[in-house]
Amino acid sequence: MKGYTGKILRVDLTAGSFSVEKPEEQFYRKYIGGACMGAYYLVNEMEAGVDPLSPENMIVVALSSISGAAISGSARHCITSKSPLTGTIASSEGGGYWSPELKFAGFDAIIIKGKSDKPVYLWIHDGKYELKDAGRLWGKETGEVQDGIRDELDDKRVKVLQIGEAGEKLVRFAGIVNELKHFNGRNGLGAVMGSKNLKAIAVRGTQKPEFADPGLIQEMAKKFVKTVKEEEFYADFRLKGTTLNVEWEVDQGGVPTNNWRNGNFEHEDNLSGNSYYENMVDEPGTCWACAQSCKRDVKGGITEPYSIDEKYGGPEYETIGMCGSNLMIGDLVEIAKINEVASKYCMDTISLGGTIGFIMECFEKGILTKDKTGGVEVEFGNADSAIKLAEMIGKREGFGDDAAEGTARLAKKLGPEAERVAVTVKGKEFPAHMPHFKALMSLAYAVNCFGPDHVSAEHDPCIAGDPVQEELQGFGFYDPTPPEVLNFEKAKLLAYSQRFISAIDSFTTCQFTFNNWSVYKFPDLIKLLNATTGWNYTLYEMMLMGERRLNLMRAFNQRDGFDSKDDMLPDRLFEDPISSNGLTNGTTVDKETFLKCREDYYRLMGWDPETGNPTEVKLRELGLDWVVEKLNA
Amino acid sequence: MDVSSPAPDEERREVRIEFVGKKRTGEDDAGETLLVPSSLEEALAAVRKKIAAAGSKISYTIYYNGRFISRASVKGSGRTVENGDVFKIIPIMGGG
Repeated sequence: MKGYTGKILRVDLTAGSFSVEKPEEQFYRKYIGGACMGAYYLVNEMEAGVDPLSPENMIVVALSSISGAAISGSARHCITSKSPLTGTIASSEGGGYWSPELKFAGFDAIIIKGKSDKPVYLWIHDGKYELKDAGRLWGKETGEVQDGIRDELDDKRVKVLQIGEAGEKLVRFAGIVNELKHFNGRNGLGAVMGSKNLKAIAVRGTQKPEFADPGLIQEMAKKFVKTVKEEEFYADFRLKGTTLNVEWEVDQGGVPTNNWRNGNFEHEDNLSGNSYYENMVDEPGTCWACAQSCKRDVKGGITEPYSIDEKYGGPEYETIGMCGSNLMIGDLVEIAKINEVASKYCMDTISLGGTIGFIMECFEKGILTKDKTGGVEVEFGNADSAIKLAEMIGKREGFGDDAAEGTARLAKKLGPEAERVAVTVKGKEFPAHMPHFKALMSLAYAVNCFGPDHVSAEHDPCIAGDPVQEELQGFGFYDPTPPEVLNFEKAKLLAYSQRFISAIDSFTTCQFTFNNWSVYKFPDLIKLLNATTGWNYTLYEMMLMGERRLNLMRAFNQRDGFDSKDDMLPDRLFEDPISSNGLTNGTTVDKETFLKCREDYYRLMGWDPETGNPTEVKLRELGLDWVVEKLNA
Repeated sequence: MDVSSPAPDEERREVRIEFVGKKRTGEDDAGETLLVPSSLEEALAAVRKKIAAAGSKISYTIYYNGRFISRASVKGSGRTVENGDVFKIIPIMGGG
């Protein structure tokens, strides 16, 4: 079998034992890797009703056939588990340098169950594996932990995937990081590792995978480098990365501001991609083998108004939105400091910004006072307070212990007035794209299996070009549709784009290199998959595979009682018109249209239009008869 | 200033094209003016021609005075443009 090692490592932390599974090639073709493979194992091996922070939860870290191929966009890995934030199945993708090293160490995936009786880290190297004591690393900042593991193993090239103190303290939006700044950020999967006393997974290997057509892979890699050099947009994306989004979304009034009450604010120019490029960075960062280099690093020597430690990286668009404008903080250095604190403790900056924004509004309304926040004046625009609060959350110190539960649980504790201003779905905070400007996001945030997510579906502008991009005409989108309009076309775009993005996440490639707007388009994705494996995969098979993963997730949630009632936006989105200087001013999400489009979406997915659950016919169509049997058991 | 239409002077309008995100710190402007026919449909065609001449292979959305427009949405509308009207050009990219 080409592209894969053919080996999956199983770890039982309770028993301290290992085994190696060697699936058939047909299994790999059907579940491919990453997000789809993770969903397969969770549905197949977990019972309903498992507490996400109990030993019965499991973690699947999965690669794909592309991992280890020296080509842009290949250095991704997907972590799947049951989320302590949403209570649903959840996957979280991350880039950086870790995934090729796991492949070189000899494995396609790791399945982790149980709980160690003391802190440990998993050390995998060239086909060998062992658990090592992590007692002296517990409670340390991520930078110290990475150095400590490399010193102990006497190899600076070891790649460390780890949790921070937030994961140890079971902060419900704790993340997982490699190389200190490449995150599997969302869904609180760091807390799952923490609950298992698993501090880190260190990998090192020298076993190069065998690919079916290495010449074609090399040719495609060269094409990417050339395109980034020659085409203005990709050159600009290299320099400014995701911060490019700031100007575009601010211009339309689509950046969450003031806890989702506004769509832009007076300091927006300070936060722009151009401002970041001019003032915050020397050279863009990157992931292994990637020429797009869109990663936001931060330069050394920044000392005012805060000293910034460059080893923890810089804020991406989402962080600028949620820890900047959403908190009415208009200084990139202040935002970089919040980002640094979040990185040190290893927390998701989207949920962190959402939670602090919620707390700030509660403070403004008198729902929270200094007596309750441990003396912290949590006011909008006050960076000192936001930084202090982030540290308290990371340590679960004082009021930070309540805030570490996330917006929804804190709101429930504070009462109905607080719940009214909480912006969450399935207990999870929204990313920094307002549905008032990007209407599809209203549906995507509501129906996504693990709550609001900005990288599980395409964004509205992709069918707003005139003409619509050729790749999307291939999916049946011919007429430009305004981003702010919610209609049947958007339900269709959601249903179709979830499938191909689900496929991208299962093939563990980067959406910023493989997408309708990226250097590599969908045909390149198929070409590369076949170049790594030697299969004759088609776009149709790829879409089915993406859809298979979506249905596996939906079935997992169905067993735990989730249905359409959980696919609902908070009242604020329907009832509170936002204020902005753009086209979003005075708008809300129309509830009737939303509900109609949600039902259309369910029908397009082949799901029950009332419950939103997969039908038996749909599951069987996707080769998931075994899931039908599980659901009927 | 670029003159991109053969229409008589009295039927042309001076509009502004803004390339959102192009302005660099320290610069005042990320746009330019363009003389276009007074018909919105023809003005949009002139703006699109101007963008195409720049050689960009990337898709973009166009907002006219803050509202989304496309060729289909203005076709046969009879709408006209005025001096100082603004066309904003935003490249298409996914989430971040």
